[in-house]
Amino acid sequence: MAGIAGSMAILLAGLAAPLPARTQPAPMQLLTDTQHYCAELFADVEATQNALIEPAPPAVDRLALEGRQLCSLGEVRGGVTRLRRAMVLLHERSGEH
Amino acid sequence: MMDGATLGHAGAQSAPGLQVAGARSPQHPRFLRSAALRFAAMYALLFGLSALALALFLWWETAGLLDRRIDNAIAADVESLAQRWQEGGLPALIITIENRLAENVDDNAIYLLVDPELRRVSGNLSSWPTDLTVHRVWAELPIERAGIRSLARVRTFTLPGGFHLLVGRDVQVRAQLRDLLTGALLWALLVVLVLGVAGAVVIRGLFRRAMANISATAAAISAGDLSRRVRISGRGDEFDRLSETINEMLERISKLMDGVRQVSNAIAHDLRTPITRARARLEDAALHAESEADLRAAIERATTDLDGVVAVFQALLRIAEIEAGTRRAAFASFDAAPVLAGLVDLYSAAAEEGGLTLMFVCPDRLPLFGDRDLVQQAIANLLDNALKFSPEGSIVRLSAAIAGGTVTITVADQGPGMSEVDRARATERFFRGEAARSTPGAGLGLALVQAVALLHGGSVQLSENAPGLAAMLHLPGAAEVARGIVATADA
Amino acid sequence: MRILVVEDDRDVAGFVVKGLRESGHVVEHADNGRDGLFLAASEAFDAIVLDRMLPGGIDGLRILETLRSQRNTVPVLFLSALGQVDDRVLGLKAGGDDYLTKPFAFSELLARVEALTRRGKGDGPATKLVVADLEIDLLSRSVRRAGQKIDLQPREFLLLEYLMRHAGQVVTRTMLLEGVWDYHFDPQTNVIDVHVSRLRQKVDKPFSGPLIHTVRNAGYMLRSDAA
Repeated sequence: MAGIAGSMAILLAGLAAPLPARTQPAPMQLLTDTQHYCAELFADVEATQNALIEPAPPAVDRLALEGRQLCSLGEVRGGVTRLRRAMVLLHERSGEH
Repeated sequence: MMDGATLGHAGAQSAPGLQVAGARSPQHPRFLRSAALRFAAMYALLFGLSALALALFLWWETAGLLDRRIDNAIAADVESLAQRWQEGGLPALIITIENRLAENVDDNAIYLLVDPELRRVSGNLSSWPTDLTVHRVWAELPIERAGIRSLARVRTFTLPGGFHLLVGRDVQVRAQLRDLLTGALLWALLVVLVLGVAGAVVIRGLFRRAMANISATAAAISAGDLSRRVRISGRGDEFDRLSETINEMLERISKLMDGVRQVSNAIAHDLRTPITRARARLEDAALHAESEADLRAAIERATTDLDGVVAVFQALLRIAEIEAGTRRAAFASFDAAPVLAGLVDLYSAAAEEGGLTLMFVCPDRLPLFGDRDLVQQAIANLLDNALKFSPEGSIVRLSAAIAGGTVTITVADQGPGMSEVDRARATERFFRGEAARSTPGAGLGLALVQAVALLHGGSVQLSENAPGLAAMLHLPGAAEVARGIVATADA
Repeated sequence: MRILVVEDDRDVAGFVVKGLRESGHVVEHADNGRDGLFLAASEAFDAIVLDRMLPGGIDGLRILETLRSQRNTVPVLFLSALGQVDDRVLGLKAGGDDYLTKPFAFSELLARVEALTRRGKGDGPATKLVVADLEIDLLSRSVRRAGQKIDLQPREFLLLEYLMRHAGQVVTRTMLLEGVWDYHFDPQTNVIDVHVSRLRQKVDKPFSGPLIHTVRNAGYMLRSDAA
């Protein structure tokens, strides 16, 4: 019941959304969408890789390089995603979560 | 002053009279008055509402489902973070947040940890959203990612110690889905509108077609053509039943009007005679009477003639009253056996005078449901006829029997009888059979018996008595009638 | 007797009033409802002849209902052009004692009015009825004339009883049909006449002095010839 009511409210609110909001402040940016974070994450990936005992799977290297390249080309979100995937692989290997 | 010509006009003249007498409904604008349009509009409305209900259900199952999933994910996230705080305090929480951000392959997570003064401690938001109070649990947060506006669904949580946690998800996908659905639904609305109107037009057409036959027939009838009937489609549906009922009503009206026409024709022929006779006698007496005794005699004869005319009128009115059916409201249960016995008693003396034998056979009880006086008069009419036409030395037999729920009362004589042709017409008003032309009477006796029979839901049957005539009055027995009506107390 | 006639038709009223006066009654006449009610309520009458349809806002039924509600039990005979059975029933239910439809024969009206007044005098239940040398015992259902027993069929007994109860008054055929046979309409054949003549055969013929007389154009009367 609440779901339907909520959905209806969302539907109506959503239909109203295209209207420009006067008093709304500027939408917030995510800090994880920045070049700064991209570089930070790349350094993290490297550090984690080095801390491993066994060698990391080859995908990690590839993903990390691709990520850094994408970031430098301006595709921050795509780059960050690749770096994150590399991180996930590394964490899996090391058993951490 | 009824004669054949005016009767024909009476039908047309009564139409405007009917329109005036019947209350016309207040004049609404024409389109509101169309029942077909109302039906069609109702159809369109129902169609629209159904479409809307379907759309809402779809929304709930798609976008709504997504919403619920996302909310559940956020809630689970909050809970596990709160747990972290419990276990490891602030440092552990910070590390966990940073890890989760680092592993967020779906690129949709939002975290923010602030101290009690709303200063950022950890997470990927720069500051606590300005228009978001810490007490709001769930909220929508507009965000911008790579230059594209998006929306985030966020949840706040106050940790023990005064720190505030904000956990959310980028619901861009949902926003896109919502936009897609909205667009689709708006187009759908248009389609619904078109289909609804088209459907309404079709419904209106069907409705009007179904009614067209009835209204066309009705129009023809009110213009005077009473022979028209509504066409039955044969499907046996509600319209057919309505048409059948209307046709029955038309039959009845037609018969009643025929009755009226019959009567007025008969009056024209058969009543003017005694009136003319009376008038002639009086005029003759006025001109040619030679003594007071002559005058008195003429006046008395004229009085008798007039009484005869009055009797005919009374009988006609009676028959009309019976045929109108209003006496049915006063029906009651009664035993017809003593009624018949009383009639036999009454007529036995006259029968003997005429050298006739009056036989009577009847069961102990004859339960009937109806009008006692009418049944009495009907049988009396039959006995009257029988006695009138029976030759000396013959037998007149009044008998009654119950068979299969029907009570049959028979009056049989051994007189000249009636030919088959005459028997078929005998119950018409003023009909006199060949043999009866010379005997007194207006020819209304059998018409009254017929009317009484029909009123009670029964029938009259005339048959050959070899020799003579047997008149049978069939009436439904009280038990039969009680089956259809709630039985009265003394049944 | 004092009779009140409430009838708006001048010809009919004149006819009735004259006829009643000639028969030896004292007659008052009102031609509308209001006057009729006033007269009926303020003076004592032995019978009222009341038309149903009256001008003046008060019709016959209402007059009767008003009188009855004032506990006025004067016998009332309705005259009406409305001849349907429902109208009859309505009239009798409202408290009327008899109902006659127009047109009517004056003799019928006279006979019925006089029968009403006899009824009004409150004859207590009698066990014996006697006229001249004819007597009937209602308990034992036996009839004697001049000491001799007469054998009568049940219906003949009822017929004689009715005639004797209305001894000295005109009894019309219609009254006999209603009172003895409970039959409310006129049969075409003169069935009543035959019954009366049979009764005469048994009650009059073997004895001296006829008691059952035929009244021309009216009906019958049972009375001693000495009258």
